[in-house]
Amino acid sequence: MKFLEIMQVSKHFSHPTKGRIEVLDKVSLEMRRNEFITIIGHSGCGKSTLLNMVAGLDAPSSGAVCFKEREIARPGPERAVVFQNHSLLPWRTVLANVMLAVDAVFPAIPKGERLAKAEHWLGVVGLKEQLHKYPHEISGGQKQRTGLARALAMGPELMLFDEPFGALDELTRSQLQDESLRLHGDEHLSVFMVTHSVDEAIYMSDRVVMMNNGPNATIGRIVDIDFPRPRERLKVFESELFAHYRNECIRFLFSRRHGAQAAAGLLSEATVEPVPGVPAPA
Amino acid sequence: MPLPVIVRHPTRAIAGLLLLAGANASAATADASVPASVAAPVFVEYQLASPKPDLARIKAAGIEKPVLKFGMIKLTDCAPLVVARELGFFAAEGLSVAIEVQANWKVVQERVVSMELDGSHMLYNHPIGARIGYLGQAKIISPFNISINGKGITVSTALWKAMQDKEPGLKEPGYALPVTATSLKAIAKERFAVGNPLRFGMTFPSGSHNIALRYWLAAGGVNPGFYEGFNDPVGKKDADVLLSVVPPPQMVANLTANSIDGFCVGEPWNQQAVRDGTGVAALGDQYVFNGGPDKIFATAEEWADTHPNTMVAVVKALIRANQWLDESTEHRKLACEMLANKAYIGANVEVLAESMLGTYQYQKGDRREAKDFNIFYRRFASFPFKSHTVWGLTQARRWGMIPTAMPDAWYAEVADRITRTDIYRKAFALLLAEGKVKAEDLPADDYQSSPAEAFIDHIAFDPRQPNAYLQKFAIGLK
Amino acid sequence: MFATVTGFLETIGLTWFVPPLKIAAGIDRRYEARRFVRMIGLPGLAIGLFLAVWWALSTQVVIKGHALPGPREVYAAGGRMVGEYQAARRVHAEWLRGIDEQVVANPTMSRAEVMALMPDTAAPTYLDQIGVSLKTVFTGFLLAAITAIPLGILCGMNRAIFEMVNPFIQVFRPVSPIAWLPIVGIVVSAGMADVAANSFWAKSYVISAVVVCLCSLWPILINTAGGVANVERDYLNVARVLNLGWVGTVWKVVLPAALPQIFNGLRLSIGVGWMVLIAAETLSQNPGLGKFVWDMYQSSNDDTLAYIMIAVLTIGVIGFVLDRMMIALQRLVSPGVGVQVR
Repeated sequence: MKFLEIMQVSKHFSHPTKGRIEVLDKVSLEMRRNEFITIIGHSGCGKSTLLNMVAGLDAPSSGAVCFKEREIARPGPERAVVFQNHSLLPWRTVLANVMLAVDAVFPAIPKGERLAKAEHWLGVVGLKEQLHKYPHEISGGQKQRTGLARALAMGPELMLFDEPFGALDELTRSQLQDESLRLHGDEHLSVFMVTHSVDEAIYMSDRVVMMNNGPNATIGRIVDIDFPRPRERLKVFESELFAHYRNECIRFLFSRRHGAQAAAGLLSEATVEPVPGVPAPA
Repeated sequence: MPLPVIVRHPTRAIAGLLLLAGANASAATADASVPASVAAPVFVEYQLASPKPDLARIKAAGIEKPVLKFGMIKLTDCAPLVVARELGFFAAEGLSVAIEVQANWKVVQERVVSMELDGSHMLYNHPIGARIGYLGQAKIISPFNISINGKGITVSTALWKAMQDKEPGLKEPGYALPVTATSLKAIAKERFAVGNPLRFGMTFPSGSHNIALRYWLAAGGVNPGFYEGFNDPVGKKDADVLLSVVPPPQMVANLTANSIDGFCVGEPWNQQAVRDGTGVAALGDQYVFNGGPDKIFATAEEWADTHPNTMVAVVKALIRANQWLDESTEHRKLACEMLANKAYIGANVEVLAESMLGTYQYQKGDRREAKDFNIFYRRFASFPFKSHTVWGLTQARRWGMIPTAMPDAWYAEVADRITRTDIYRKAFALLLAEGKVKAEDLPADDYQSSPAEAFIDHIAFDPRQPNAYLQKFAIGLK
Repeated sequence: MFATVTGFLETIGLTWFVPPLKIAAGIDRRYEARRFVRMIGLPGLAIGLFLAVWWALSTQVVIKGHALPGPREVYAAGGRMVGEYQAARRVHAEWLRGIDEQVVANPTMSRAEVMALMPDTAAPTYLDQIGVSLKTVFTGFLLAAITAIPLGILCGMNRAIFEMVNPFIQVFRPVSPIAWLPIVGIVVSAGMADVAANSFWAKSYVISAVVVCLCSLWPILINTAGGVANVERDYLNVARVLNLGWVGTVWKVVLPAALPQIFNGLRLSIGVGWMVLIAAETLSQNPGLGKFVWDMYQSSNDDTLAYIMIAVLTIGVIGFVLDRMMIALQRLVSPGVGVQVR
């Protein structure tokens, strides 16, 4: 059975002044169970729109997205989303945020077990001590961990990561990347991630899907990443292969720039996170 | 120059002001002139001493509703209600009565008709207007007359000066009463010609003050204007002056603000204007129609029909209150103390006492005897004469509130419906049996004629011939 | 314990009491002393200045031969009102004694029956009047909240409903309570024709409460609709991913997310309601503070203005307390959301 299939998906919006905006044009992609796949591209290339369609939060204008060979019509907990800005409900404690998901997805099991489930997942992401804190009382990383725990607690078959680490500081981001990779291995997750960090994409994915620029964005190129799993951060980043992948990606994205500025933005973004031993691209 | 000081030395100026305030506050303790006019102690002693409701009476008299709420307007002639409550006359009948001040006469009429109020202090012509359908139809009855006379006509000091110019006699100290409206005739014409007609305030279109004011003006040759039927609330057809409705407690403020040149109202508002120096009391209405009706106690007809025993009990208490009020000057003084309470009129005792004690201040310092000003019991004052109602009807026809001439029989029929002498006679008989009243205080006849001397224009009133009476007025519809 | 007390005081907005408490307990003395000067010293100075200016004015302005009452006349009138209140208590006690007597005299009747036959018919005291006003304003306010919050949620969730309701909001919101009063009076009178006049639902009380409701409806409605419409998309997406359904989404996500703004509306509305009530009471004869002001205005006593000033101060202080109450509630229901105290 095919796991996730994106078939000839196009998407357009109507804009009050600019008229019809074509975002995606006949995009097709397949994803296997247990795969970690990353979509990368310039801002506005429609990568988040694509993720939303997989989540069921948005519907394609034409074409179809199928999950386990059934067309996706609405969102559901089997396709859990980790949102860009954590989206925790500020009036609920960390535990209560996760309980919201558990209660909604597993209404049939007894209250005590549900609670245990929520606590388990919060333990997995390292928040055992923060159960009764409110979102405004914990750090950005902890918030994102809570978001992760909430998604995991839904018992999803597919995890959708919508730039989940974009707003975090460098150290926290690395930590969360590593933990997500560990979870991917331990829990046999399938992950569909959207990011605009080239390094993150290469480090975490099995495949990096690069989008052309919009409007009418399409998939430009897919790079298979052959690092073995589990991956070790330093080993990966210090390898020749990483530099190779990195150059390949950046070259593609650079060539798809619309203006020097867009490229410069992307480049500087790529270079703000130098990894020791990896020379910056010329 | 305080301002520059503040600008140059703000802290010093503030300190100075604070010192001043402090000095003022400390002076207050030594100052005996701080007004302390609310006579709470006397009042409370009365309340504490007043008898508790006699619950045995409820069953014995078959009282349908022992807990009642009555309305009043802030006028001294609400006294019978207050006295009956404070001295326990209601309680003696087994009644617990709350008295609630109402905003204006319109509100009183609405709440009596809707029976939100079980009964109220009212103008004698409320039931007349309501019964004939003037400004809306409703059935109100009256088993008790609260008072006769008791209205005053006050003019602004400016208008008084103008009247003195036309009639130099008014300049003399101790000028003769009554002051007539004859001098106003010319003034009204002049003011009308310059587009600024004379304006007078009264309390309600179908109200006793409106009728008294019109009678006085017309007797002096001034046309106060005619109403054009049941739906005309203004009544200014052919008018030489403009009359408008002002709630009693706001008369003085309106006179002060020059929005009216004079008014006709009950007390203490005429005396308040004299005391404030904004007006001159021209005359009391004992000079317009001595013995003329003023306030009544009234209820919705439906209320009276459904609470016959309670109605009689209420009238019994009110008769005793009126009797008490006319027994002595001492009683009148005590009544003033009661009325001065915030829950009732709340005005200063001195102002209330002015008319209640049989004197009347016409101008500041010009205080004269006015024995007949407020009568509650003497001269059968508390008896609800049907002739009062007939007289009210003749005036309603005279000024056009009744649009067409009606036969004499109609007048008697309407009076029979409104004025429930049967209830009064029943209550009086019970009191007589209890030895609380004297037989000679009950009139034999429901009708009372008034001689020519009773009226400012010397036109005698025979209640059996209302149409013949109407023919005698120079100004007025027939 | 100490921290709990001061924390509670801060929560309900009574921050003034914190510095003296902390200074007394010896915590952060210098900082708290500065806070004390800023929070109590400066307003105190301003109040002192106000009293001084008021006093100065009262000696200058003369109305109808009487001076405008100054602070000490008002203070004296206040003292007399306390005296009158004490006197009223004595009369009340006497009434209770009378009840006892009648209970003894009528052995067939229970105490409750006796009390029903001879209730205390004394005119309401000032405290009674405050009670009536509070009862009325809360009735109107609750009525408004019960109507406006669900309607606001519908408007916020559904653009079409908002477009249908919006014209009514725009047209009726600016209508003064004075204009509503006659209509409400007629409608309520017609609707209550069969209700006993002296029952709990006195007509004047219902009329005043309905007018308060009609005027305080709009801030709740607008704020609820706004709060609901502006719930973050992401929260709604969370609800969608969890398949919470309409009711679940409203109850678990939309309502809590909009709560701070709903409470903002409630707070505005109780302020509006309190102001409206005073106006409504003067005209509807509801025996509350509004009627007190009106009755005093109509008494033409030498002390009329002093009594009215006391009522004005009472009205202001109660309005202030109501506002603080709503702020405290708002903070309690939405932790972590900054509430502006203005």
